[in-house]
Amino acid sequence: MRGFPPPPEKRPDLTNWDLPPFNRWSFMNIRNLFPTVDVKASRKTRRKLPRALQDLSAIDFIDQGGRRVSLPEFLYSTYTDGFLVLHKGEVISEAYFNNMQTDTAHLSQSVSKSIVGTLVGILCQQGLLDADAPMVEYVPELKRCGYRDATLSHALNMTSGVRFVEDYDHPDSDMRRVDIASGWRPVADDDTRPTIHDIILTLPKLRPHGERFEYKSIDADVVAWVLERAASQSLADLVSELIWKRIGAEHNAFFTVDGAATALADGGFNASMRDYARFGLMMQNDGYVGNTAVVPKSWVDQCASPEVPVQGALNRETCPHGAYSNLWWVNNIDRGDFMARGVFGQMVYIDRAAELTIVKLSTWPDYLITSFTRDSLAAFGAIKKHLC
Amino acid sequence: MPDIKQGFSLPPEQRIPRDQWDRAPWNRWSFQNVRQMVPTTEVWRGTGPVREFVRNPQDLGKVQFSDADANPSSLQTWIDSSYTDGILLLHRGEIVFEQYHNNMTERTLHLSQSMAKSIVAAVASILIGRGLIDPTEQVTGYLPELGATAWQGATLQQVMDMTTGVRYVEDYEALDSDIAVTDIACGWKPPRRDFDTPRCIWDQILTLTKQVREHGEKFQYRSIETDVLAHCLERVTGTRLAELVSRELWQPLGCEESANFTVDEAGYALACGGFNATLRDYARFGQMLLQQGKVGDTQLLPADWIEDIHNADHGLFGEPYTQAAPNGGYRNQFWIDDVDRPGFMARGVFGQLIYVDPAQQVVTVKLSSWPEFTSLPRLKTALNAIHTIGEYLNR
Repeated sequence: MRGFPPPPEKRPDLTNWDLPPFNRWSFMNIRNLFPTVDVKASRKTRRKLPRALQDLSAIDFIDQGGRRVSLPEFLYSTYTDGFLVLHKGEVISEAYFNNMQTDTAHLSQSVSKSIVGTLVGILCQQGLLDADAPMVEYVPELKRCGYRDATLSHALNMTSGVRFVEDYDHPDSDMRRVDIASGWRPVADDDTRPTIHDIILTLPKLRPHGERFEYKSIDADVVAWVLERAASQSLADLVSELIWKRIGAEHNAFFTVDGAATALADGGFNASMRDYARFGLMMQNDGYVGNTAVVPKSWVDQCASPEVPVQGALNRETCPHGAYSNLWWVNNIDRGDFMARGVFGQMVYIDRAAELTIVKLSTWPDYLITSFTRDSLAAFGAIKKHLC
Repeated sequence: MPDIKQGFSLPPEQRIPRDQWDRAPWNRWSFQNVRQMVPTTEVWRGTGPVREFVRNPQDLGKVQFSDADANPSSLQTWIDSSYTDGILLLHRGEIVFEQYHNNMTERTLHLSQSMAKSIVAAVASILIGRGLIDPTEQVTGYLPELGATAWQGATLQQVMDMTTGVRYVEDYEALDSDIAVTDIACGWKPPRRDFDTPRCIWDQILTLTKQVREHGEKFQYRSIETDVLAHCLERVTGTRLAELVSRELWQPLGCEESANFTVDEAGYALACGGFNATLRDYARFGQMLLQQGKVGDTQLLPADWIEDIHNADHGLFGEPYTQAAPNGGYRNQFWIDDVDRPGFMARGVFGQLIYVDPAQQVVTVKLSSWPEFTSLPRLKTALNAIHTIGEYLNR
């Protein structure tokens, strides 16, 4: 998007905005591309992040290609836009690349899901939600689709048995249908754009719920629908009131919205790097901000230490001892380090034992790059080793 | 009015139609939720402190005035009967009256429609003050591409005063008018299937090749002139409009909330009408104008440029504009209701108004969502109310 005005070939459009090279610009300019809804922060509740900067540039590790790489080399080669390390609640490292600034809101893709999952923990505590209840009790429309007998925890753990083909490249996949519904991809000329909820209601049941984990973005959107109904508030307002203001966020965040103004819960969230860090820090502190419990500790424990390991070759390759719980990824069930993760390199990594939270925002050239994920986790491990 | 709610999976008939969102009745919701309808770009407020207002609330609701039909009314009656979303009055820089309606809050950003023009012009004045642009220059000096359009030969001042001879039909209700094409090019409305429309505002500007009269001959309100002005500002500074407004106005004004513009496919912020901000931040802008461009000890806008608004040539100001303002004028992207009085205003369709009255030391901001684009009686009533309240405050 250079030039005044930029020539057509330099403008991202709905067919290519999230792909290279455009994603290097668009992930930090989502509002320029889509309708969005504010997740308001409040000046009155803003919390300072203490700083105790350290030089981490000497840290190195062996990458997936067997080379020894330093932390700066790793950040450069993995298309980093922002990188922040919190240790014992203090910012020890913070770096911005690719024109990102402290106030830039960066798309976090599926990190959104973990924010939605965290909200469930809060609403369960408030008695507005029951994780074991069938979701149809909150959203009666679900009786028309494969979710009719799924419980909230099935969706939270992605063990629902509905069909959802999570193929990012296939033009006819269910994922592509959600992309179109959410406004992220163009609608065919003779079609009217469906809504996210319209897509949910078309999904059939393939197998019994609870049988196994299968990563399905749409499960997060169903959870969000349930949340909104249970609390009679929009997802954006809920995140604002129950999380963003309480963690002391410094900037407004936002979601992309569809034609019915439904926020894209599975991947449409954008926030500044420090605010992702505040969110991670709250989880690191067992759900507490200062002396106030924002999320019940028992819920955080459940996100970090689930019983069911993940399945699927790809997931095992990334995190051999991993799991998925409450819309969070667990890196290693024995250690209990867990993370919010999004395609194209978004990560909010939390290790409570090491008192460590790391945020990495990136614009990788592809949706999933296993070696980059592995390298990121190796880099986080090296930082941990350096600190302890 | 339909029950406009969003976000809980509404049946299609309750969803806001994409091609109607800026019209009544949807505007009652959408003017406060523009970001949920279209792409936008942030006008950052910066990290500086908020320039707080002194509050000196006064009970003005019962102040009487005569409405457009010469019937007795009161400030509160007017507010309650004119689709008010927010209204704020400053007297000598202090908030004497502030009210929110229709779910608006002090943090809500409200679409200001054509008040955006005056904000963009304020940025232009700063660049003029720095010698970066010269209003007497021809626009083609800044945008050579316009040599192939009807702007050939027009000066930047004529663009700012909307006196160029460029043919551009500003008929809000006609589906094939130029402003209807702007609605699509700017991204507010989906493209039409029955005819090709430009994909961005710049492309539309390049299609306007018909000149209907000599440049400078008379004032004709045409929104696209502001977009030509904004493209000049971007080209000269190498900076996008939203960044310019942030740097030159929203940060130094000490605004409370970041504002935003709607953007087209080329990332161009809609200078002629896509700006959204809070009620108080519009008031900060208005108060700065009242203070001849000063904010605190800083001269933000050149005082002589604000003074120059009063050089509006009433002789160029004819029908239909004289219906609302028989002795009115238009200059530097501001309206004047009476060239013999010191007041001037920024105005936007559906009832957006910032009225600056240096004589009474009053700034009035009213944000509304009228059912009509323009309304002679509503405007006249508003001006009557503002002038009467001004006198009342200085009684």
